[in-house]
Amino acid sequence: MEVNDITLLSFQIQEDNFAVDAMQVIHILEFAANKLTEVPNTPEYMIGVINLHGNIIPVVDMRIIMEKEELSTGTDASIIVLEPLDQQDATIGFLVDMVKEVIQTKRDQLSETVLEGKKGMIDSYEGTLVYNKEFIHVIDIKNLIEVIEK
Amino acid sequence: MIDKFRAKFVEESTDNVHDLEEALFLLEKDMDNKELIERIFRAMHSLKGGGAMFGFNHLSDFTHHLETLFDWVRNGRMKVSTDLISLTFSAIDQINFLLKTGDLTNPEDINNQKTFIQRIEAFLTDSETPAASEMQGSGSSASANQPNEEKTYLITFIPQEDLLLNGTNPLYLLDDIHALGTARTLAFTHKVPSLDLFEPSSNYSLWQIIVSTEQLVNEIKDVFIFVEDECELHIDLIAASSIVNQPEVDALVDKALKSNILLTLEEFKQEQWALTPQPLNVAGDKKKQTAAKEHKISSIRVSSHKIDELVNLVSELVTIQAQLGLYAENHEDPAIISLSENIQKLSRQLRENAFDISLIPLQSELMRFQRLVRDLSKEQAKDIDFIIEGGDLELDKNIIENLTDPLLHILRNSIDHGIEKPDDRIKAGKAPKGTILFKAFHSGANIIIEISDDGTGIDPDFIRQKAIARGVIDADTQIDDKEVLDLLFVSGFSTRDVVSGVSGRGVGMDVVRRRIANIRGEVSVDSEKGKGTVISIKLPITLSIIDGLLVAVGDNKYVIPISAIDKIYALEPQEVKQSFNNVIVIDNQQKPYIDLRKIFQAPEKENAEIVRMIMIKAEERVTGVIVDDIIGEYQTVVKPLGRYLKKQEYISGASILGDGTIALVVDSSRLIQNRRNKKVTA
Amino acid sequence: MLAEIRKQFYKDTLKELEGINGKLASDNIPPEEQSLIAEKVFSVSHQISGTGPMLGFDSTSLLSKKLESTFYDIRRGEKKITLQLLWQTKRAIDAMIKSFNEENNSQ
Repeated sequence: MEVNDITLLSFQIQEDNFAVDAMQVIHILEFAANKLTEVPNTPEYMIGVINLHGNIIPVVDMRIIMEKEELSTGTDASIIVLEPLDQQDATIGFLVDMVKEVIQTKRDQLSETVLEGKKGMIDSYEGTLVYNKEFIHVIDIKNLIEVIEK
Repeated sequence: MIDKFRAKFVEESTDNVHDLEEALFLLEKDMDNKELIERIFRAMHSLKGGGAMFGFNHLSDFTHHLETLFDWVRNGRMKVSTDLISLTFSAIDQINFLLKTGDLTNPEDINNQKTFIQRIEAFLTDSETPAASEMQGSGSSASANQPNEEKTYLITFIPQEDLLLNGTNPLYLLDDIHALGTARTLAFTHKVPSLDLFEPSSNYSLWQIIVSTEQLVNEIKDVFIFVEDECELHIDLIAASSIVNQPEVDALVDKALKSNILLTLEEFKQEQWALTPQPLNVAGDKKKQTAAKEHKISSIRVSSHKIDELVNLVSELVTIQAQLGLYAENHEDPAIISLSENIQKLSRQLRENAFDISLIPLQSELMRFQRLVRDLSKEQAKDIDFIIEGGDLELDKNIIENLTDPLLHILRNSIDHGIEKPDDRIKAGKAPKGTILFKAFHSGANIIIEISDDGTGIDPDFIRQKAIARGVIDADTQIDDKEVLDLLFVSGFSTRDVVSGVSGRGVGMDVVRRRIANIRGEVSVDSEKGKGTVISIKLPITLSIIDGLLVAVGDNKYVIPISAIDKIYALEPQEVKQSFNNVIVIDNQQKPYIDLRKIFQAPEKENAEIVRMIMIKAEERVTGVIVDDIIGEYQTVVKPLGRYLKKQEYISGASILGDGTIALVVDSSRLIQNRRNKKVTA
Repeated sequence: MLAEIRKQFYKDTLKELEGINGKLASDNIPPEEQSLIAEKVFSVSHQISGTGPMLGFDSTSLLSKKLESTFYDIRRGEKKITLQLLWQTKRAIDAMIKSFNEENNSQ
C-alpha cells in the first residue's frame, strides 16, 4: 500500500531542518509582512491572518513554536500553507526561515527523533530522516495543530 | 489517501443513517409498508459492505446482525413491532458512534457492543429458528460476462467547451469507438460561434455515433472513462442486431445532418428494430437502470468547502467589479460604462445565486428534534404530537449549525416542563395528547422560528418571586408580565429550577439567548399560565454579508456592523484621557465606553486632534466604543476566522477589502456583554 | 529554492510517465503485467495529484486525479482492467505529458 511511501517537504528554522508531509501542503508563499494582518489578543506565535484567494488563513511563526530567541525574518522566509487531512476547516500557514526541498522516501527510513531540549512546544514527531548527511525532523502535523489549538 | 476515502465513506454513511432514521419513523406509523422495510434493509446492507471495505470492521459486524434482522422482516419471517423499532433506534445511535470512533479499542465499548449484538440475536431466536443459511442476493450469472451477439448502440457525446484544455483530443476517442465494430459518426457543429467569439482552444463540436459491436456497453464506457466529467454522454441500445448499414439508418442520418438536429431514441424506436429478444439482454436492463437513475438526480452533493470557495470567488468578483465601476465613471468612456454596468448586473445575480446555493433546508436537522421528542416522551410517559411546519425553509449552514443546540434545549424544556402527563392534562380539561408545534416562516429579511406547546405555561408570579429572592430585581420593582418573562434570559438568573431544570443539562435560557445572539438572532418568550408557552427566534437569512463601518484602530482596520450603531461622537483625546472609570459625560449624560485602542493593544497616536466614539447597542444597552478614525461605510462579506481563532473574544470574523487586505469585524454584542460582566476594564 | 524543487519534481515525474507509456504502447500486455502497470499508474498519479498543485502543475494534476481515482477502484477490485481502459490510460498519459511540459515551460 501507499502507507510506506511518503513525500516530505523540508524546511529550515535557523540551524535546524524539519519536514512535513507534502501531501498536506497546499501552497507555499513568500512571506511579506505587509500582507499580514495582526489579530489582537492572541498567543505570541499566532502572528496574524493572511488573505489566500479570499480565504482567511491564520499564520503561526514556527520559530516561536520551536522556542527560538532570534526572530528576524530573512528574504527566504516563506509561509507553508497546510490543509490537514480531512480537516478542511483547519487550513493554516506556518512561517519558516526557508523552504528546502521535496523528498520522496519510505516511512521505514525514519528513525526515532531525538531532539535534546530542542523540541520546542511540539510533543511528538513522526521520526527523523537522515538525508544528505543532515537530520530532518518530521513534524507530526496532528500534534502541532493540537498544540496550537490549546 | 485512504483517509480521504474513509472520510467520504463516513459522510455518505451519515446520509445513509439519516435515511434509515427517516424510514424508521415512517415505519413506526405504517408497520406493514414493504417499501420502507426494503429501504431500511438496503441502508443496513450498504453500511455493512462499505464498513468492511473501509476498515470499519466493528460497524460492519454490527450492521450485519441488523441486516439479518431486517432480512427476516422483509421475507415475512418476522413482524415489525414497537420493540423492533425501539431496538433499531438505539442501534442507530450505536452506528453513529461507530462511524465517529471507527473500530473500538476501549474494552468497555467493546463490551457494550457485544451486549447489544446479543440483544439482537435474542430478538432473532425469540421469533423463530433461523434457516441454515443466510440469503444473499448474489444471483448474477456468468453469462453476463460473455461477449454477446452484435448489437447497435447510439452514442451521444457532447463535450464541454474546455475539453481541449485538458489535453484530450476527442477525435482519438471517436477512432477508438470505430475500432470496436462498424460505426458511423455524425458531427454536429451548430454550436460553433461566429468568428469574433471563436476561441481556438475551445471545443464546440458534438458527436453522435451509431456503432454495431459485439462488445458490452462497459467497453464503450471505458473509452470515455477519463472524460466523463467534461462531457455529457449517453449510450443507448437501439437494436439487438447490426443495423448500421441499413437504408433506414441512412435516411435518419441524412435527415439529422441536414437539419443539424440530433438523432433521438424515438426515431429508432419507430423503426421497429427488435430491441431485445428476452430479458437475457444485460445491456438493455442496464440502460433502463441508468435512465431511472438519471431521472432521479434532481440535486447533487457538493462539499461545503467547494461552496465556500464559490462564495469567496464571487465576493472577490463583486469587490473588483466595484473598482471597475469607479474606473469607468472616472474615465467617462461610454463603452466601458455600459460594459461595467452589465458586469455589475451579472455579478449581482451571480452573488445572489451563490448565496442561495450556500443555504440549506432546516429539514436536515429536524430528524434530531423528532428523535428527541420521541425518546423523551417515551421516557416520561407523555403523549406528544410533534408538528413541523416550514421545514423546507432554507438558512445559511452556519446559522443552522449554531441553532441546533439552542433549539434542542428549548424543545427539551417544552417536554420536561411544558407538556403535562396525560392524567394531569385530563384534570386540567385538556386533550390527553399534548402538542408541540415547530413552525418556521419568512418575515421580511428574517426567518422566524416558533416553538409553541399547549402545556402548563409559565407562572409570572413565580418568576417574579424567584427574581426577588435572588436579588435580580427589587421587591418594589414595577414590571409587567412580559418583562418578567424576559428575566428568564438574564444571565446569572439560574433558570434551572424555574423552567429548565433538565437533569444533567445545565444550560439555561441565558445561554440560549447568547448562542442565538452569536448568529445575530433574537429570542423572546411568551406564555400564559395553564395554556402554554411560545418561544420565538428571529434570525437573519445569511451571516455572510453585512453593512459595516470601517474604522481605524492603531495600524489595523476594523469593521463595526452598522446595525449595531446608534450614534457617533467626535471627542478630543484629552476628554478621554481625563475621563474616570470609563464613563464620559456628553450633553450632561453619562456615557460608558470601551476604548478599543486599549483592548486591542494599539499604540497610542501622538498629536491626534480628535478620536471618535461610536455608540453601539446590543440587548437594549448602549455603550461607546473609542476608535482612532472612521474610514467609511462598506457592504462587506464576513468570513469566519476559523477554528484556531475561535476563542478570540471581540472579533467575530474578517472581511477582505478592495485592495486585498483584511479588516477584522468587531463583535459588538460580545463587547457590551463583557463590559457588563466587568471583564473589559479598559 | 522552490524553482529547484519544481525542476526535480518535473524531471522525476516525466521519467516515470514516459516509462509507463512505453509499457502501455505494447499491443499485447499479459494480465500479470497489467496489474503491475496499474499499480504504477496509481502511485505516479497519486504523487502528481498530491504534489502537483503545490508546484503549479494545475492542469496536469486535474488529469492525474482522474487516473488516480480510476486506478484506485481498480486496486480495490471494484473495477476491471480492460485493454480498452489501458489504451485510454495511454491517451491520458500522453495528454498529461503534454500539459506537464507546457506547464513547466510557462513557469
